[in-house]
Amino acid sequence: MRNHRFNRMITALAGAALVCGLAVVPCAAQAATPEEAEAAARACGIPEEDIQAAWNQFYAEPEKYTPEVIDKMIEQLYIAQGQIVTNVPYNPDAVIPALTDAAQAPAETVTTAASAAQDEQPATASQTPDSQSPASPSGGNNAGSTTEPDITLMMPDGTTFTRIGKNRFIALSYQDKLTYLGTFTSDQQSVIIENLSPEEYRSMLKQLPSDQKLDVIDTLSGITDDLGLTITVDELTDDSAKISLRDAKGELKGVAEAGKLVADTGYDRRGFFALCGALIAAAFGGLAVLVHSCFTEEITEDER
Amino acid sequence: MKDKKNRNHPAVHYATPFILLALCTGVAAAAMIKPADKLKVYANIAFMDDQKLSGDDTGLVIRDNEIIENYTGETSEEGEVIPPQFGELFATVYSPAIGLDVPVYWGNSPELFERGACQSSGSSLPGRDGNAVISAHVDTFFADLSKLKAGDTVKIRTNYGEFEYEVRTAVEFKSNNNKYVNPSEENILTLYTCKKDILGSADDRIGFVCDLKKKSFYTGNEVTG
Repeated sequence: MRNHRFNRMITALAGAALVCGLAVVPCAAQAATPEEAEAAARACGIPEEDIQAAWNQFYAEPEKYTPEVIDKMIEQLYIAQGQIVTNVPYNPDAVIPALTDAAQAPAETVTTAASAAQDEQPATASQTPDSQSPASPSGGNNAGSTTEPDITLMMPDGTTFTRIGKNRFIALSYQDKLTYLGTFTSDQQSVIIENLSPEEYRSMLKQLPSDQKLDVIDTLSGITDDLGLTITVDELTDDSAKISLRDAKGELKGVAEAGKLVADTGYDRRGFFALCGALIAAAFGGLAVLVHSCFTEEITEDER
Repeated sequence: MKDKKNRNHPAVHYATPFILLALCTGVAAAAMIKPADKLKVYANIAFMDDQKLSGDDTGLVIRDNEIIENYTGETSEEGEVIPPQFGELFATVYSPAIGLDVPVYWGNSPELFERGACQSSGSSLPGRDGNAVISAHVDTFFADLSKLKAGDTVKIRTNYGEFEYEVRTAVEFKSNNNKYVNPSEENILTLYTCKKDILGSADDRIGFVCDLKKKSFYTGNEVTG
């Protein structure tokens, strides 16, 4: 349905970075068929449930998805993904407490995503514990965890540098992620951004400040306009986003709550039962007072 | 001399009925909440319109369709799936083992959960490959879901075909765990609801994963009953 299509778009912003390298490397969308779009989406790391939702929507109104619409959709995604993260000012002296607290570990196993964006030369995995890493000497930001090795990336000129592993990057706050990125040179930042995994992108998308989320939604609304749909933001905080899609008549076509797949299948009755409990407790309290007063013998003046 | 004057104090006479009323109200309200839920379900079904605009300003249009129950014509293993619109009643989930026969709406929405089960629009439609995920309230439509057992038959009836599943296993998961509601390459049906909780709001979900056993797309128009 359309709501999940939007969800797909949102999450696609994260995954598409793998392929096109954000705003650093301009990419031309060439997906003329839904199958090609699906393949591109999957390669970009878009969650399967969103791809499924997109297919459901496509089957409902296939005539709307012309090659031009699909191409534009992907182009808009590329624009929007640049709103999630771009290069930040270089600050090699920045220290990130969340990283400096971690234990040092040997970078014996290295994984890296292919980086073919800038010079068609794929990034290669290599064991380079002494690779250039601006964060290491400055504040220990390159400290690896005991369970996750650092990632070695290759620059276009063939030199290598390391960055922290995927899980540690995901665990950082959005600001810490940007600060960490800033410990690398601009060229290194570009390579890192090109090689961010879909999960890393997704984590950044979730952490985006609400004003930036609005920018992303605004960009994506260009896609839905072509499909005759309007996006309405029902709820937007730094931690959540609830969005509705409506057609030209105002009919609701879908509701998306970021990342929420399991439905609420029970009524929350805590308040109701608390009220009932309070009523019963108050009644028992009143009864106790009554019984107490009824069976308490008053001492008369004579007895005093 | 002792005198039990308080028993005849006017305050006792005035307060007693109110206290008893409060007690009875509290107990009755707590005891009636479950039957009231069921009554609301019956009322919803009895007075449902074919096409109803949601009472609020969300723009949700609920479409109630008649679902074919007794198709006697020719069927085929392959056929065309008719995609529903958001808020459309497009199927029923039926299991004779537990007396389950519940309407299924497309999409998740609180209003739709009041009227039946809901299929996530991020899951596969019955008849297509993948995981069809259907959920409903534990207090109403899926109150007896937990009685399903491995081997029980569950059918999804739509207006384009009937799809028979067999319960493979029961599962439990947290509301923030998407494992069982994610798409799958297997042709399965996942039914879930909240784990029963006296307070109604539970983070735990119970579900059943069912394997597709038979696909019957309708190719004719013969309907009886």
